[in-house]
Amino acid sequence: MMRSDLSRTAMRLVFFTLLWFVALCAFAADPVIRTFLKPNSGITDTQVLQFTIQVEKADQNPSIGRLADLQNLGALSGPSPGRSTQIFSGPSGTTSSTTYTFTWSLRALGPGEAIIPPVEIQVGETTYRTQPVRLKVTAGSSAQPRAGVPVPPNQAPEEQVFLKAELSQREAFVGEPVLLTLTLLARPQVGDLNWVDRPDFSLFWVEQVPTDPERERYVTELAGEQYYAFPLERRMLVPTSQGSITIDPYSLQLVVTARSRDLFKDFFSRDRGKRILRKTEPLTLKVKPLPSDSRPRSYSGAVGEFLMSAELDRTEAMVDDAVALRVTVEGEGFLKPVQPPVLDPPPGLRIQEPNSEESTTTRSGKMVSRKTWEWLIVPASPGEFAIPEVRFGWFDPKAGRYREGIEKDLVLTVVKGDGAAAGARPGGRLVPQGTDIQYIKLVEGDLELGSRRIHGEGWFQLLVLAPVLLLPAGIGAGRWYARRTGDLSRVRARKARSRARNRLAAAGKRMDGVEGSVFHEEVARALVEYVGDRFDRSSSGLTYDDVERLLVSRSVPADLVRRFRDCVEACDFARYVPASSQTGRQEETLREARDVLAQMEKVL
Amino acid sequence: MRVVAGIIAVCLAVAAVPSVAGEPETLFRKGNEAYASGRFMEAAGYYQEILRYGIKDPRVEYNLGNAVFKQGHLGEAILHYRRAALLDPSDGEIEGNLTFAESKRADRVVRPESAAIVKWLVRLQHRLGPDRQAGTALALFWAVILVLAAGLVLPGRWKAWHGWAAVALTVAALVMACSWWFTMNRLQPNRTAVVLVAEVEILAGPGENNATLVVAHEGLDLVIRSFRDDWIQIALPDGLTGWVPREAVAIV
Repeated sequence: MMRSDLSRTAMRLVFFTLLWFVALCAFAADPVIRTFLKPNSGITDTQVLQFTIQVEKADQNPSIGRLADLQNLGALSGPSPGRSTQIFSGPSGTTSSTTYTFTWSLRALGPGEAIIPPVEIQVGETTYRTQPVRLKVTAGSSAQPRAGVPVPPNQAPEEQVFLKAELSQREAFVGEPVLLTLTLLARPQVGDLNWVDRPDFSLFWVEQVPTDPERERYVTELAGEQYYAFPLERRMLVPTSQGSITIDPYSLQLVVTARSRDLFKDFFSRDRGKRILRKTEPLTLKVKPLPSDSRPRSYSGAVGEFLMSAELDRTEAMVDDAVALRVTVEGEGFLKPVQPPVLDPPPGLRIQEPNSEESTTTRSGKMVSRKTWEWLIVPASPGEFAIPEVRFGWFDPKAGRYREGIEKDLVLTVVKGDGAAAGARPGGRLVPQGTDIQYIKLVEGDLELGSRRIHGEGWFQLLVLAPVLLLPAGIGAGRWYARRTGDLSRVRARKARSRARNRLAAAGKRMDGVEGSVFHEEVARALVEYVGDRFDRSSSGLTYDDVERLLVSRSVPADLVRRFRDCVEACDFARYVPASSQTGRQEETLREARDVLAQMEKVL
Repeated sequence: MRVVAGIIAVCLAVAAVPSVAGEPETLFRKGNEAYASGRFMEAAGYYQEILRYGIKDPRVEYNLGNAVFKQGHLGEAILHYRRAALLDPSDGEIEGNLTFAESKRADRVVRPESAAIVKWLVRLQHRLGPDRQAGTALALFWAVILVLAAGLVLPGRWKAWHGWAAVALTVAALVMACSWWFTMNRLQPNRTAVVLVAEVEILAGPGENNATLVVAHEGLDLVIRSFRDDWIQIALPDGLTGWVPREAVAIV
C-alpha cells in the first residue's frame, strides 16, 4: 500500500515535469503563421477580398513586410493590424498566448489567375515568409444591368447597385464640349463611398461641373424596378485631338446595407454592411477633325455657337487719352484656349496688348462661355479714326461649317488737347487734365526732414491739455464767483461806499442855498445809509444812537464816531434852521462828510 | 594716449557724417537745373540722393515723380506722386500730376461713385489738409472753453445765446476733429503699394504654383492687406484680393 502510494506520487511528479517541459518547448518553438482569404472561392472581379496573415506563438511583436508585386490584384487598404491574447491557468501557474493579425483589402483587376506573393514577417531576429496564394477570378456582374433584363425581387441587396457613366454624345469635333455624367443607381441603402479608380482625361480640357448627389437625386426605372439615381460627378470634356478616345472605367468601393425604412431620409448613412466594388463600362468617344477647307483667317480654336460684339467706351477723346475697345464673345462652347482677334491699327493709333476676362458655366447640359478682351487704344494725333474691323471665327458643329462675326464702322474722333481740357477722373470729378504733367517745384529753401504735423508740436499739445490742467482752477474760480455774487449782505457792503459817494455827489449839485434842506437831507442820508449798507441793516429805522453802537462794535475810533455824529446832527440842524444853510457852510459839510466816509472806509 | 585716440576717433566720425545742413538744398537746386535742361535721369539721381539723407519733403518726391515720368517709368512716377500727396495732400499740382499719370495706366480703374456730399467733404479735406484741420479744431475747442467761461460772468439776457453758441461750437469742434482723424488715417504710409513692373500676375496664394487671378499692369495701386515672406497680400480697387511678389511693387 505504501509502495503503491509512492509509485503514484512519483508518476504524478513525472507527468507534471513532462507537462512543464512540453509547455516550455512549446513556448520556445517557432511562431505559427497562417494566411486566410475571404472569400476563398467563387471570387469575381467585382468583389472586395480580405487577405489576412495570422501570427501565433510569437514571443515578440512581429513586423510585417510590404505586400508588393500583386498579380491581377490591387490593394485597396491595409495592412490593418489586430491583436488578441488568450490566458491559460494551470497547476504550474498562468500563461498567455498572443495572436497577431494583419489584414489587407484587395480587389481583382480582371478575370483570370491572381497571385498574392509571399510576404515577409519579422519576429525578433528571424524572418519568415508566407506561401504564395493563388486564386482564380471570374467576371462579376458589376456594371449597369442590361435593359430589359428583369431583376428578381428577392435579389441580394448588393446586386441592386449599379454605377453608370455616359457621354452626352458619342461623336464630337475637336474642341467641342461633351458632357460626361457618372450616376450611381441603387435600391438598397449605400454609403462610405471611396473612389478606387478614375479615368485619365489627359486628352481633354476638363471643366468640373458642380454636382450635389443628395440634392440632385431622382427616381428612375430600370428593368421594371424603381431605383434611386445619384449623379456623382459631371465633367465637361473638350477633346484636344482627333481619333477614337477611350475613357477608362470608374471604380467605386461602397458599403451596401439593408434597405432603410425611409429611403428619402439619411440615404448615405454610415451603417455597417457589405463592402462591394462597382465599376463602369469603358466609354469611347469618336473625335472628328475640324475641316481645313473654308477656314477663316480669324479662326483661333472656338467650337460651338457664338455671338460677337464690339464697342468703344467712348467715341470722342483727346490726343494721348486712352480709349477702351471691348470685344465680347459668348455662347455655347469652350473659349478658354481661344486667342484674341488680331487688330491692325491704322497710323495714329497705338493699341496695347489686351486684357481678357472669361467665365464658363453649364446650362441644360451645355457649356456656356463668355470671353471679353479689352484693348486700350491711345491716339497719337488728332483726327477721325476708323477702328480696324474686328473679326472672330468659330466652327459650328451642328452646321458642320465655319462662321465668322465681323464688327466694323467703329469710329473714334480725336481732338488735340490744349493743356486745359477737361478729362474724366476715376472719381468722376472733372479736373484740369492737360497733355503733360505740370512742371517741377522750383521753390527752394530748407527741405523738411519729415512730415512734421502741427499736432506733433509741443505748443499744440500744451494747448490741447491746458483746459484739462486749468479745469480745477476754473472750478475754484467759478465757485468763488458764485459765492460772492450769492451773498447779498456782502454785495451790499461792497457797494456801500459807491452808493454813498453817488448820493454825496447828488447832494453837491443841490448846494445852492435855495434847496439847503434837500442838500443836508441827502448828506445825512448818505452817511446813515452807508452805515446801514455796511452793517446790512435797513436805514429807515436806524437812529443815530444805533449807528453809534454799530460803529463802536466794529472798533471805530471814538473821535471818528463823534465826527460822524457831529456831521449828521449838523445836517439835521441845518435842515430846520435855514439861516445856517449857507453855501460856504454846505461846502464845509460836504467836505467833512466825504472825509468821514473816507476814514470810515479805512477802518471798516 | 587712449584719450588722444578717442578724440581722433570722434573727429573722424564727425567728419564722416555728411553735412546735412545745406547739401540737400544744393542737390535740389542741381536736380532742378538738370530737369530744366532735359537731363531727367540726372535730375532723378539728384532727387534720390536727397532722399538718402532722410529728407521727406513733398517737393522732392514731386520733382522726382516728374523726372521718372519723363523717362517713361509710369509706376515709379505714380509711387512718388503718391508719397508727395501723403506729405502734402492739399497741393493741387501733386494731385493733378498724379491724376494725369494714372490716366496713362493700362488698367482702367472704375471706383464706386460717392454721394455728392461725401465728395464735397473729401475735397474740402484735401483743400484744408491735416494741419489746418487740426488748428481749426483746436481753435474751436478753445472757443468752446471761452464761451463757457464767459457764461459765468455774462448778464442774464445773454444766457440763452451763450448756451446755443456753446453747443454750436462744440459740434463744429467735434466735426473738425473727426475730419482731421479721418484725414490722418487716410494719410498713413504703408497702406498701399504701386506696381512697378510692366505687368504682374496676381496669384491666388503666396507662391508661384498658385493660380493666376488677374494680371495687373504698371502703375496700378493696390491696397496692402498682409505680408508673408517675399509676398504681399493685396486688394484690387474692385475688392478682389490676391498675392504679388514683393519685388514687383513698391510700398507708398
